[in-house]
Amino acid sequence: MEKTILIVDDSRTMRDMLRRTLEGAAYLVVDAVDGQDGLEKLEAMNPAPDAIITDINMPRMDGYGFIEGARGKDRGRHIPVLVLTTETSAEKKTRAKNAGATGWIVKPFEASVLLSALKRVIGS
Amino acid sequence: MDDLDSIRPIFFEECAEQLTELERALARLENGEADHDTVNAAFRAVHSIKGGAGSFGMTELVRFAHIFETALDLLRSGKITPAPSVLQIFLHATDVLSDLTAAEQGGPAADPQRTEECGKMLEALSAMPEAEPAQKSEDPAEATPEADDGVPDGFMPVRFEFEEDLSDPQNIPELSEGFEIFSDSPASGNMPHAEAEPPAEMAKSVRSESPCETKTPVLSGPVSKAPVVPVTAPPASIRVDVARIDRVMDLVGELVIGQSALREAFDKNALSIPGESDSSTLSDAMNAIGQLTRDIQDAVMAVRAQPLRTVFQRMQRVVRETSLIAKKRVHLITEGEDTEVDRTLIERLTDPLTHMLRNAIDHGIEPEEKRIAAGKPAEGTITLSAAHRSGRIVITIKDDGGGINRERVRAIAEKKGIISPDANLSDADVDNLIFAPGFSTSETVTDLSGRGVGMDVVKQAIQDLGGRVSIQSEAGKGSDFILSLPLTLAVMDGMLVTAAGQVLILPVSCIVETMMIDRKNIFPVADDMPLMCVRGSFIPMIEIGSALGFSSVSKNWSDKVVLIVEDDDGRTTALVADSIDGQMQIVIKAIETNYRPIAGVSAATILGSGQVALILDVPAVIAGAGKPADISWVKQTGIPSEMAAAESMI
Repeated sequence: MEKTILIVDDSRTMRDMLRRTLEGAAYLVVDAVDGQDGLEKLEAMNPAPDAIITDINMPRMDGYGFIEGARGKDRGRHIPVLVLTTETSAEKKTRAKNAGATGWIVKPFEASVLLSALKRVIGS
Repeated sequence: MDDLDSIRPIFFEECAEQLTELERALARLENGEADHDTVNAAFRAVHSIKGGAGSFGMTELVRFAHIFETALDLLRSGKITPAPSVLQIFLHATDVLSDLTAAEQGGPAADPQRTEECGKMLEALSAMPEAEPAQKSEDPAEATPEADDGVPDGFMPVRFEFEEDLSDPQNIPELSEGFEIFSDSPASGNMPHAEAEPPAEMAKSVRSESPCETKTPVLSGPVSKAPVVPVTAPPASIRVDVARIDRVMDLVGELVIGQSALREAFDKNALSIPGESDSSTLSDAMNAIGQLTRDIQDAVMAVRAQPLRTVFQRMQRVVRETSLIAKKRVHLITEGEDTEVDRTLIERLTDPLTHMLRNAIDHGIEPEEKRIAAGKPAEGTITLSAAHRSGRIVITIKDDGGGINRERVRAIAEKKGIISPDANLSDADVDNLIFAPGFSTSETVTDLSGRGVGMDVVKQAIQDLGGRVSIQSEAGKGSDFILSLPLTLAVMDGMLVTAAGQVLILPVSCIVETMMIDRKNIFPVADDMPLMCVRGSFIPMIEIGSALGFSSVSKNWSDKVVLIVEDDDGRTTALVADSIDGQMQIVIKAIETNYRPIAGVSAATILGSGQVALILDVPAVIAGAGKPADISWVKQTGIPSEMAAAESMI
């Protein structure tokens, strides 16, 4: 069965790019425009996504809030969450990790890097 | 990603949105609203642009956005305060960012020196020596008074901690694949061979930042809690290609025409339908469809409508730059930026507004010394406001400057031969002279507001949009320039008249009143332009048919009707037609694109009957009366066949 990825990013450019990259690799994609929207989509998706890719800097609810929120839900507890951001500071990375992130990818991303990271966290 | 190109337009659209968002946030900060959300919004905007630009390999843009973002981060973390001088740099940086974006989009290249200088200013924000701990103050502007202690102009003493070891991405522990999987995260259990990060290194990086974490005063509240702000979600929206909306708009136009055809057919046949009840049911249905058609039209119009915000935000930059060159301090206040207007109007308003604002700064706002002497605040204020008023958009540019110097305007107009020295002019007449062609020249306008265009060009641009400009000025208090514009350029209320056998349309908006001709009131002063006495005042009479060249001047006024029209300067003229046939909402179809410009005719429309009717350009008809008409073709051949074919107009 195809794997489903939830993308959480406030930038339409990024969402479109991710969608193309992922759909090109035969993933199903659902996207959300901010953390709050991400949590709602996560709740609504059936089946739950196989992995989540989230931005950090977003309006309404940022990436940290989203990850914490997702980890607080039964269905979000064990889904791998990759943070995709231009942020490179160790402090932010630690925060993301403490919030429950599975991994960290730096923007701009290479399609191959993103896909191999995904493969690693989902399993093939 | 091979199809990156298809995402580019989306990126630029988003850049425009983010730049608007950034300007808004900075404007709020200027007003002292230094809350966390606002600072975050500004940061996010730049951050988003940087992120997208990185994906497209726009290195210049990324480099600058990164410097800008770093400086905004100082504000976000409370290391600097949103003092006026800091905001000035941010606003400048916004302009540079906007230029860089435009350059990537194929616009003119951004000035590299300007970019460089602005980048240095941004970087200097973080390199400032540590200042005295600022006292807590409600007003952020007060907390950090203007520096006059040898600190270079434009810079503020800031509270500052340097994160040397973290500011360089090289120092961030990172795995060679370009990503990193945290080994002990809740969801990493199913990874076959997750790479463990060297714990010591992580610990080091955490330690190295902890001192600044504890010492740094944060702007508002700790950031460890996710900012779950109880903001209502923005309404769901989709993006639609403009061409598709325009297509719907066209179809609605056709619907309006179809509906009026139906109406016309019904009105003709209504009498012959046996049984009155049938006809009234049919009439009700007809009215309902008419109403629905109008509603659909409004709804589609609403889809095309956009708030004036984008234009108004752009004006902030215009004012910023102009006041810099003019060496005057000017504050622009915008009001009613949520007012929605048709998108075509938005695009075409930028230039006239830009010019009028430059004019207001250059000629309206007095030099600082003069203002202080007059008991005014040293900083000038210009208010740009928009509102809907009785079916039109009214945009006002109000300055608190010296008002129009009427003596000087008069003197210039006399010198240029625009008026004769003995002309008897009211104050309003004098004010309107600044719109006269040839009034603004290099002698009266500095490079700044001039740029080779006079206010007459502004007036023309506004008139081309179906609008009017008026001035209210008071010496010493300032001037108001008032633009009144139609809500849309595509549909208008028209009055159908017949002149010399042709059906013509007059914009209802310019008609003051209509009346039957009473021969007693006609005074033949000149051969081709008699005067008509209306309630004691004499106004020129123009026969539409002869003005357009449909017929020769008629000496027989009986059975004719008069439409009193008013031009933009408030002058009235009596237009004579054979009959008035009714009022209807018409869809404007350009003639230029399908045929060629015709003097005296602004556009055309298609009537319910399928017949093409010309829309009268009233000011042109008035101005052209008495001159040989340029439309002899109509006289010879009637409506040319290529125009009569409705398809060619659609």
